Amino acid sequence: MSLVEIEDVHKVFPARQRGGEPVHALKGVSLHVNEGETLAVIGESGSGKSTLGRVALRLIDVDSGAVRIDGKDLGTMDANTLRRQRADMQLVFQEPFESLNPRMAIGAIVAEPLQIHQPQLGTTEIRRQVLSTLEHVGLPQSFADRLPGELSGGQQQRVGIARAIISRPRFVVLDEPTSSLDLSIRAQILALLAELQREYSMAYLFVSHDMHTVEWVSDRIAVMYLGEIVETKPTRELFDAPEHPYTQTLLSARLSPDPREPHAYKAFAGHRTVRDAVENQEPA
Amino acid sequence: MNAQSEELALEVRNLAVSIKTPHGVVHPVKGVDLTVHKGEIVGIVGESGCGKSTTIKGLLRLLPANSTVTADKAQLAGYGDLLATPVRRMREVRGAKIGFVAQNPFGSLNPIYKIERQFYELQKAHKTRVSRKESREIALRMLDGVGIVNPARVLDGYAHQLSGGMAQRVVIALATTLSPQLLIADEPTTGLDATVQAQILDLISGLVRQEGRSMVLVTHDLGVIAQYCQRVVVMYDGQVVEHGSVMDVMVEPQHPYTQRLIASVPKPGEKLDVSR
Repeated sequence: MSLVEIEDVHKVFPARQRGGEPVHALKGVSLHVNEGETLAVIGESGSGKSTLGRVALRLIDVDSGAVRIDGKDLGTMDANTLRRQRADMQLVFQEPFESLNPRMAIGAIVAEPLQIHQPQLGTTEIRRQVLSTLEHVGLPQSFADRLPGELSGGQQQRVGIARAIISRPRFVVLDEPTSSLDLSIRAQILALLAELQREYSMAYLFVSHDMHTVEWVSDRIAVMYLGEIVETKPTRELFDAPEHPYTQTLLSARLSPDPREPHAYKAFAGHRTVRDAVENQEPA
Repeated sequence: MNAQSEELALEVRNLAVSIKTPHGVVHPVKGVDLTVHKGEIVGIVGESGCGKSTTIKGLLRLLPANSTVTADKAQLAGYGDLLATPVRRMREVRGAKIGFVAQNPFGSLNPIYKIERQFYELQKAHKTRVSRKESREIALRMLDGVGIVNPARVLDGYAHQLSGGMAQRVVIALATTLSPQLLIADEPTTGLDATVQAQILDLISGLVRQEGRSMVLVTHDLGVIAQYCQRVVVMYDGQVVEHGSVMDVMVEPQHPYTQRLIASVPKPGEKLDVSR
């Protein structure tokens, strides 16, 4: 059953400079995320994938179209209802350190969603839940009193995950959650996310540019290109039989770590980066 | 794979780097050997902090003054020992004997000069007599060689007008303008999109193959190693833990660290195993 529905969403950002072109970030995007599944959105920089992630949580308002969770339209919700709804929908950021207040103790950071969404809880109960959540994401309880700067990148991302899951959301947007991490740490964080998903049956919208990662973690994949979704398919099917020329190009750029499987990059005619499109340059 | 000879392009023995800090001396590189034959691409792979970039910067003498680089040998074919060269004379080596491509192209390009001027300055710094006109012709040819469709427009513009992929092409063109026999690229495609990465790496490896050059390619990406290098050096904690042909090391890694590294790459067709 679909938990989140995005229907024909358009979003245009105004030009940053006078005389510049407005950026059409989303051009009629539709998708749904089923309960408990991982839908990956894959695309290159500027394809609109991060905008889509933010739109799905109504962190950005849409120009037209609808975003629904549980059948309820986020766009028409009043501020109080939306705020209550947010307990159910959370976000994990790409840069763990940038997303943590450097002056707040880890315990206070992880406690914030509870203080907002369950103000009736006492400090002791909040502390108890914070410590158990830290443990759940693989951090020692003693980290509650540390500052983000004292932690490694992988540990910081575990804090980001703890903060996202403590209010027991059913829907989490993961915006490139592992792309700033080293390879071996990346695998650990992905395994943790998969474990938590199974335990709490959360649905993930996994935004990424990395095809290896996406293939590994997702049930279905939506491919974005210049603000549009060009193809959505179950993961295996997409990798076995990519239909859209852009998907084929993207897959041909995958570099296997096994030298016995050579790659053959194939550009498709007219492939343009967003910058090419915006500035009307011919592709290189 | 391609024409490799037994002839050496670069031979480094026991390279070590120590850096004086207010908290004592640290040793980010502790005795690294690196052998590059003519015509081959050698990868250096490892995770952040393993010393791979510091090794390269030490060789090129690009480290700050509080660091010391030592080696039993750092022989560059057709030149001599790099570490026997005084730092001030390294300017003659970099650019002419060794082309360097850094991770961030915008860090390598001067933001306030037009691209054309950067080609001119490079050539002027290395040989005294080049006219603006000659320099522009060379630059046009170089940019055309790296697959830039409208070289004149790029030459007359500034770095900030370029996309990341285009800027990296310009840096590669600059790095090869003086025909150095050895290229060193430090994470040249990290931060670029996958399709652009494939284009840039195809370009660089083509340049190495066509011109009979050699290259050292520093990366944390095992896919880049497997697909573009002939030999690989795996670094961990400032040391080489394993080295050999890409076929041997990537298919049957011997060292536990290399095995772990390769195991943490998601394999095509494999679902994430949460039990591990």
